[in-house]
Amino acid sequence: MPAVRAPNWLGILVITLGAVPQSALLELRARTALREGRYVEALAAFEALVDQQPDNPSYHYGRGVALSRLLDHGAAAEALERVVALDPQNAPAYRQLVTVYSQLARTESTLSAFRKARSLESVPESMRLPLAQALRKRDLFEEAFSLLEGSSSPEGNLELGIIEMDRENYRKAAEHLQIAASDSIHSTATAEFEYGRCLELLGESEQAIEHYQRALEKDRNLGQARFRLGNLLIRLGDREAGLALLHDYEEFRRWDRKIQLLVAMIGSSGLPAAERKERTLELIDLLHQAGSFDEAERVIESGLARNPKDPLLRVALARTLDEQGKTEAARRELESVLSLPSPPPSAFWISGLVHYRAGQKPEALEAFLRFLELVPDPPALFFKQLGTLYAISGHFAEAETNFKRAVVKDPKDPKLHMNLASVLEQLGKVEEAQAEQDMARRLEGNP
Amino acid sequence: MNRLLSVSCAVILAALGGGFSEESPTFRFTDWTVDSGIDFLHVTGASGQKYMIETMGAGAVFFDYDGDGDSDLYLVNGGVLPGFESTEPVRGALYRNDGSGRFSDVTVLSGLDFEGYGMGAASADYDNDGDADLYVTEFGPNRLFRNSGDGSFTEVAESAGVVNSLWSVSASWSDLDGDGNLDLYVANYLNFDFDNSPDCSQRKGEKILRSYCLPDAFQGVPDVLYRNRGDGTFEDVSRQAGVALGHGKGLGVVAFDYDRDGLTDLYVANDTTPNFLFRNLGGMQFRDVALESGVAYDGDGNAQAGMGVDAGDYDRDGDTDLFVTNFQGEFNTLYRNGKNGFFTDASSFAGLGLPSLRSLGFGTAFVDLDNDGWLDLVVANGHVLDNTAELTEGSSYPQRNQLFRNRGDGRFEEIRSAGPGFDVSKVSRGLAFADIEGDGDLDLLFMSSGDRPELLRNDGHSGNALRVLLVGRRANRDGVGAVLTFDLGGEQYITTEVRAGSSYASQNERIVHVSLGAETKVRGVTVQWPGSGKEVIGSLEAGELIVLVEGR
Repeated sequence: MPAVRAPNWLGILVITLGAVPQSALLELRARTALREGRYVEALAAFEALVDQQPDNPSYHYGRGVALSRLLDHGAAAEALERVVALDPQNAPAYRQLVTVYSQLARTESTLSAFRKARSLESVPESMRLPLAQALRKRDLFEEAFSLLEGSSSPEGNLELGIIEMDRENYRKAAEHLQIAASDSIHSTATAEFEYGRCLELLGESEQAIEHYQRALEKDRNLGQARFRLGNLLIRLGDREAGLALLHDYEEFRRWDRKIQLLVAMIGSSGLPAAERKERTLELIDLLHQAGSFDEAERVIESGLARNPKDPLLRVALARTLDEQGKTEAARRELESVLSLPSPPPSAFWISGLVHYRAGQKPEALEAFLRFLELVPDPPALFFKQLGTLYAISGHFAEAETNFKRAVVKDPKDPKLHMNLASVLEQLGKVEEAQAEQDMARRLEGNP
Repeated sequence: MNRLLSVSCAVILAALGGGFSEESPTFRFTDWTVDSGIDFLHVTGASGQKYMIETMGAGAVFFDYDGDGDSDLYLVNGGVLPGFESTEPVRGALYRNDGSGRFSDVTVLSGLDFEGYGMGAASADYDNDGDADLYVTEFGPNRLFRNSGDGSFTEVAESAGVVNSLWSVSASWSDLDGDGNLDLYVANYLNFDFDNSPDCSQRKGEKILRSYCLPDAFQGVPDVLYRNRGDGTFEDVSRQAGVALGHGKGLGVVAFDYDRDGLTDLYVANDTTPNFLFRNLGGMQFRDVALESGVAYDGDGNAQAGMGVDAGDYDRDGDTDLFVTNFQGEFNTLYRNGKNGFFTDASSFAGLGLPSLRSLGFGTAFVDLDNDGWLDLVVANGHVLDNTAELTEGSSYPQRNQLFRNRGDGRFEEIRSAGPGFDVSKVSRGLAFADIEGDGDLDLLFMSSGDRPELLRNDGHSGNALRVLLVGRRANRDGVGAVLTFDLGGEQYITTEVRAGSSYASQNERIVHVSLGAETKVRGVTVQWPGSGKEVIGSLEAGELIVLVEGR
C-alpha cells in the first residue's frame, strides 16, 4: 500500500495567495466593506476598481450603492446610469436607481426605472418595501401599492396604510395600520403614530390619543405625534395639556429646523470647503445632543468621504462610536488622531471621556489635564466632568476647585451645586455645603 | 357627543366619492382680456441677476374709484431694477369700467402714473369721505393715494405716516379698534436688498444653474400695523399692539372675525415660517394665537410656505374658515373653523390635498362661481424659479390655475375643464374677482409675472344672486368688517364678511355677492356693523344692486 502523503496545505495556501491578483483582493475588500456598512472604505475601493476596469458594470454598481449610502444621490445616479449603459439588462441597478431618483425628486425617472426593473425580473421580497417607500414618496401610489399588496407583515401593512392615507382612502388605511400596530409591544413608533393619525381623521379621537401616546412612549422625538396629540387635546377641551405639548413641539421644531438647514447647507454645491466642514461639525454636535448617534455617524461618514484624514471628524466619529457602545473602535480612532504631531484638543477631551466611562481614572485624568493645557478656559461642562472625576477618585479638594470653576461659568445648574455640596461635606465645610444645597433646591424650584 | 360626531364623520368619509370632474356645464370661463380693452404687461425688471423680488409680483385690485357702481381695476406693476433697461416707463395701470366689462386706461388722468417697484395693493375709503382710496405696497416706500373725488388721486403716504420702506407684499384695511376709521395692516416679507442678494445657484449634474433664492436665504422682517387717527394720518402701533414679531415672512393677509366676538382679527400667511393669527383683544391689543388655534402649521406640524390666503364660510356653519396657498410639494391648506376657537386642517378631508401637490399656489379666493350658494375655491398657480424645469423633473414655471367646486358636503372637486380661460399655463400671482358686467355672476382676474393678465368672464350657467353694497355711518363708510347673515329659509343661512384685502397682494370688489341658486329672494339679512350695532333687514330680491345704508 503506497504511503499517502498528506497534502502540504501551507504550500498550497502560499501558492494560491501568490496567484490571487491584486484586483481580486481589492474587490473582496470593496464588497466586504459595502456589506458591513463601511461605505467610505467601500467607495474608495470601488473607485480604485473603476480606475482599473472602467467598463466593468459591477464596479460602477458598487460605487453607486456606496455613494447612495453616503447620501450623495446625484453622484450615485450617475454611477448607476453608467451601469445600465454598460449592461442594459441589469435589474438590480434599475432598482437602486428607483430609490436614488426618488431621493432626487425625479418622479418621471423613478417611474421609468421601476418599470424597467420590473420588466427584467420580479422584484425580490427583500427589495419590495424600500422600493414601495421610494415610489410612494414620489406619489406613485399605484406602483407602490402593487409591490406590497397582500403583505401580511407589520412593515408591509404600515407602508400600505401610509399609501392609502396619502391616497386619502382612510378606511382602507385603517385596516392596514391596525395590523401594523396590533402588537403594542413590538409595534414601531411610526406605526402607532400613523394609525393614530388615521383614526383621528376618521373621527375616532379617543383611540387616536391612545396611539399617539404609545408612539411618543416609543420615540419621544416624534414631533408630529406631539403636535397632533396637542392639537387633538385642545380640540377635545384639554387646553392646558394640549398647549404644553404644542410648546414642546415648537422647541423640537426649532431644533429640527436648524438641523435641516445645516443639512441643506452642507449639501449645497456653492459652500466653501472650510465652511462646509464647520457646518458639518455643528450638525454632528446637534445630533449628538439629540442622541441621534446613528444619524451622526452617517453625517461623519459622508464628511470623511470628502476628507478621509480630517482629525476633527475622526474625533467626532470616536465620540459617536463610544456613545454607540463601540468602545474599542472609538479608542482606535482616538489613538490614530492622538498619534498625529499636533492632535486637536477635542481629541484629549473625548479620550478622557472614553477612559472615564471605561473606569480608567488615571488615563482619563491625564487626558483631561492635557486638554486643559491646550484650552485654558473651557466651558462649565469640562470643569464639571473633571470635578466629578476628582470626586470619585477621592481628591475632594481638587474636586471643590473644579466644581467652583464650573459654578462661576454656569451658576444656574442645580446638579452642579449639589455635587459641590457633597464635596464640601466631605471636606467638613458643613455651612458652605448647606448653602450650596439650598441653592440647588431653589434652582430646582423646590425651596 | 364626541362619539356621535365621530360616527357621523366616519359615515361621511365612507361615502366620499372621486376628486375631480372632467366636464362641467356650470363652469365656463372665456378669456375676455383683449375684448375688455385691458392692454397691460407686467414687468419684472429681470436682467439675469436673479434678484428675488423679480419673481414675486404682482397683485390687482377691483374697486369703484369713480363711484359709478361698477368695479374698476388697478393692476400693480414691477419696475426697473439694476441691470434692466426699459425705453418705456414701467407703471401700474388704472382701468375704468364702463359698466359692461369694457375698460379704458385712465392711469395718467387719475394721477396714478408713478414709477416704483409694486407688489400689491388694497383699497378702502380710509378718510370716510365717500370715495375709494388706494394703498400700493412696494419693494421700497409704499404709497397711499387719496381719492380727490373727481377721478384723480393725490399721493399722501408721507404726510399720512404710512410709508413703510420694508419689502411689503399684501395689505389689508379693517377697523381694528372699532372707532369707525379703517386701520391698515401691511405684511412685510424679507430683508432683501441689492447688496444682500446671495448667489443661490443650484447644481444639476455637471451644470451650475443660477437661480432665484428661496426665503431661507433671508431674514424675515416684521409686519406693520397703522392705526388710523381719523384725521387723515396714521400712527405705527405695531410694537404696542403686539404684531411686530420678527420671525414672520409675511406674504398674504386677511382680516376677519374668527371668534365672532365683534372684533376683527388678522391672519397672516408666512412663507416657510409659522403663520400668525392675531386675536384682537380690544384696545388695539393683539396676541398671536395661531399655535393654540391650529392655524400656525398644517395638521402634521409643518410650517408651510404660505403665499396667499382667503377667509370664507365654505361649509355654511356660520363661522369663517381659512384657505392658504403653499409651495409645490405641499398641500394648500383648508383650516375648518370649529367654533371653539380651534381650526382643523381639513385639506385632505375636503379633497384639496392631493390636487395641490404639483402646483405652487399664490392668489386664492373663496368665491361662488356657479351661484349655487356654496363657496368654490380658485387658486392662481406659478412657480417662483424660472428654471424649475431644469432643476426639478416634472416641474414647470408656468402652471395651470385651478378651480375647485364646492359640493356642499364638505368636499371640493377639481374642475379640470372650466372653459378656455382655465386651459392655459401662466406664472400667476395675484387673483381678484368682481362682477365686471353686473350680470349676477363673478368674473376672475389673474395677474401673471412678466406677462399679461387674464380677465376671465364667467359664461357658465348660473343661478340667481343678490348683490349688496354697504354704506356705514357710525361704522366705517365702506362697511369693511361687517358680518352679513342671509336667511334663505328652511334653517339655511349664508354668512359673509366685507373685506378690503386678501388673496395674494390683491383685493376683490367690495360688493357682497350672495348666490341663491334657484331661489329669487332671501327672507332677511342681519348686518353686524363693525364697532357698531346689529341691524335686521327684511326680504331682499335677487337682481339689482342693493345699497344698505347703516341705520336707514
